[in-house]
Amino acid sequence: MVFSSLHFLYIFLPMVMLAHRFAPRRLRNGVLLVASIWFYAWGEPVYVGLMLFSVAWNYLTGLQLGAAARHSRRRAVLAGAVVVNLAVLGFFKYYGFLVQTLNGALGLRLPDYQLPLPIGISFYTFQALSYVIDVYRGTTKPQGSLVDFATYITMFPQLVAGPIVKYTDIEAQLRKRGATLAQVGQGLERVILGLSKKVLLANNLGLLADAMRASPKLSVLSAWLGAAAYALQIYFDFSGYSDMAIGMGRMLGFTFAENFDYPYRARSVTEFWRRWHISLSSWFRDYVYIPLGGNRVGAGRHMLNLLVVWLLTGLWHGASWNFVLWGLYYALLLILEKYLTGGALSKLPAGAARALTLLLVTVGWVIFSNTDFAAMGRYLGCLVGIGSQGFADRAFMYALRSNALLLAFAALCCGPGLRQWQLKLTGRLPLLAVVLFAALLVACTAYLVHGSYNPFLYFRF
Amino acid sequence: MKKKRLLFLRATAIMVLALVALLDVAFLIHRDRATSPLENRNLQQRPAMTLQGLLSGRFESRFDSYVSDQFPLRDHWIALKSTLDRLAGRTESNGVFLGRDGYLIQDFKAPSEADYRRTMDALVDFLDRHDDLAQYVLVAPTAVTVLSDALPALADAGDEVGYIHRLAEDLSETPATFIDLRPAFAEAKASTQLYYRTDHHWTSDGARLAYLELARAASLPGDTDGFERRLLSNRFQGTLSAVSGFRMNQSEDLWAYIPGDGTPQTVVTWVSENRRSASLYREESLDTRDKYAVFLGGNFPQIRIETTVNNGRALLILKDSYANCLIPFLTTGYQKLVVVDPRYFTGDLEVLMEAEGVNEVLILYNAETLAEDTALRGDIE
Repeated sequence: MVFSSLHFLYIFLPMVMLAHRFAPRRLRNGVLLVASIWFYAWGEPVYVGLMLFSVAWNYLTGLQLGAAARHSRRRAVLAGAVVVNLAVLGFFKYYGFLVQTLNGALGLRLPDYQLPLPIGISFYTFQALSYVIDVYRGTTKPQGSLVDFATYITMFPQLVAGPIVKYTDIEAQLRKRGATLAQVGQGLERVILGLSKKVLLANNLGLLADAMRASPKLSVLSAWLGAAAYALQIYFDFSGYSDMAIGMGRMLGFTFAENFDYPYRARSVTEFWRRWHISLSSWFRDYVYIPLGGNRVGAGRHMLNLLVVWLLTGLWHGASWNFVLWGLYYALLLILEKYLTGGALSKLPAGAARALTLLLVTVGWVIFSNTDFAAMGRYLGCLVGIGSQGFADRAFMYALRSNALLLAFAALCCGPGLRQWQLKLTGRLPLLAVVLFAALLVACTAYLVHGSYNPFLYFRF
Repeated sequence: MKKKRLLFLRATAIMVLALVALLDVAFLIHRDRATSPLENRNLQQRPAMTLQGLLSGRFESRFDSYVSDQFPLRDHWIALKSTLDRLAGRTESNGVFLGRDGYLIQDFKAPSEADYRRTMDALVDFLDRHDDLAQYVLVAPTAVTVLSDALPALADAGDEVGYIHRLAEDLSETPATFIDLRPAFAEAKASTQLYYRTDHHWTSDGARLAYLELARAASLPGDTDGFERRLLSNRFQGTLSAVSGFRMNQSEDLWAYIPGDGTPQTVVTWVSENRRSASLYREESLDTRDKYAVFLGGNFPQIRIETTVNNGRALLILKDSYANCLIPFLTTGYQKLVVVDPRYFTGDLEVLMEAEGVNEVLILYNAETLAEDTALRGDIE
């Protein structure tokens, strides 16, 4: 199921919220668990088994870690859990990629099963790993209740698109939680904002980005317009989903950590990654980068650490070589900032530093969005005038004219100003603000109904 | 401030709850619609839940479609979305431009080079093969060419003019007469509505003007005085508004030229339907959304029209739907019209031409359909 569907918003979510609200306290996690499994199974029931296996394995690992006293025994249990989790993730996500690469490079004929990727596997595997590692480190106690643990791993608001919720963040709320009417309202405020980002901004920006990418001949400015539209699309898409997850969590009585902090306002690439998909970058920081020694090592080792972390970050986003390249691109930029350009960058005026960072990130998204290297090369070429159709053309002018309002509004939403204004408005003219939010919900509904609009048959005749 | 914020949060919760409850109750009690006239398709009905359907995912995808298709006030939501798009400055949707003066204008999509060549080669070959017949090719420009002033500013429309130029040039080698409507249409457009505002067809006035141009080339009666211009409907909502979602509440007049006392009698035969009538119009269509189907009842593989004009002239028409409202004028100049729509026709054209004793050929398309068409070349090859 996806959040941005009429079925989810008007049937599934209200039913689950009501059941959760009125269930006896000790049954709440059970309600949430059943709802989450139903949510996950909707449309693709086969992989429910895999997810439940992951739940059971990591639950038992937690108990074993709790029972084992000897250090070597604990290490062995942890190693077993890490291997099993990564093996499952590796097989379902990377096997096809690995086999194709090996077959291509070495002329082998290893079988490729062409398995569809289990939805959310990258997210729930990382959540499970954070749990077992934290139990191993003694940061938290093992969870004794299978239902509570399963609820943590499968919770539908963050199951398929994050944020990656750390067990320690919601451990207490798994046992005891509640939401007042005002907290439900706060959650809904966030859900509506997230839904609007996804449906009103990201989807429409996506149409523009796709139109530019599909065009057989691009002018330089068209290529930049398409790249900018994609950068905005991926931000509003992803952060919109995170907003909805955080909002729904709030309605259920959970507090999830923030996942985005106005990333396009960053003044350096280093800062960008502190503001973008925070739950993922902090996962890699806590469980890979710091254990490797972080930056408290020699320069050579530090660069190697960055390289390893960013190769993995790239691969986490998808099993394809362009994601590897994208990860390396960021490793390179971060190393440069740390050892070469960082000082100069910090002396730039804020606006210039932001523009430069945004430029580098936008080029990064071109690498990210093109799994085909030839197409990526062509597009990057057009950005600098190689193989492009002139500097500006009519298609660019028309696209700009048709989307000017959308782009301007999207750009405005990249900074904190509008959200601050909205918070001020809700504090001064609360009823007007409610009307505004009702209008947003109505507008999103109209776009969602229109998504199934499919006129045809007699058109051409 | 804090108190007001609290009020906002509580009121938001109640507002959402009320809105969702309202729509859900409406969803539960309203009767499911079987079809959507607007979209001209069947809507998804409530699927039956079976274990097999659930496990395969078929039930789920049908259920999701069911919720969207039967969502209360569906057509209004769709209209609202298009209005919001307009407010945001969008002037194109599904290949339809939101033009000035209430015009919706279909974009022109040029054919691929290979498609163009195949159709052109087939045409040239067909025309050369039948150089004993009088031949006319009439490729009507669409609104995107004639009403280009009405396109939204900076609109990046396809090059229909270039396409028509190229057709005329390539056909000049053949025995056919190419009838170029652009000068006549350019001159008339200020005083006459040549195209519907919500539909991709030309109006009966546009068709009449085209007939007069054709009449000069083919020595047909040079006036249409025997016809009476009559309003058939003032509630015509064309396909362009349905396709684009723009101006979905706009309706317009649909006029027709109805043969009067001075015109020849006709017998119309819809060959594959085995139906016969004296009238060139099917008035039942005026009660449906597809009102343009009033002309000849819509598109059929083969229609034969016999008239009381006793001049021995028999015309084969290879056509698209633009021809449907022009054909009545042709009944004054021909004894027989053999109307073939290649998109539906599956017979042997040569055999048909022989059997009907055809001695003239008219190829009548609008540029947009001809550019996309792949059926014509199949029938004439």
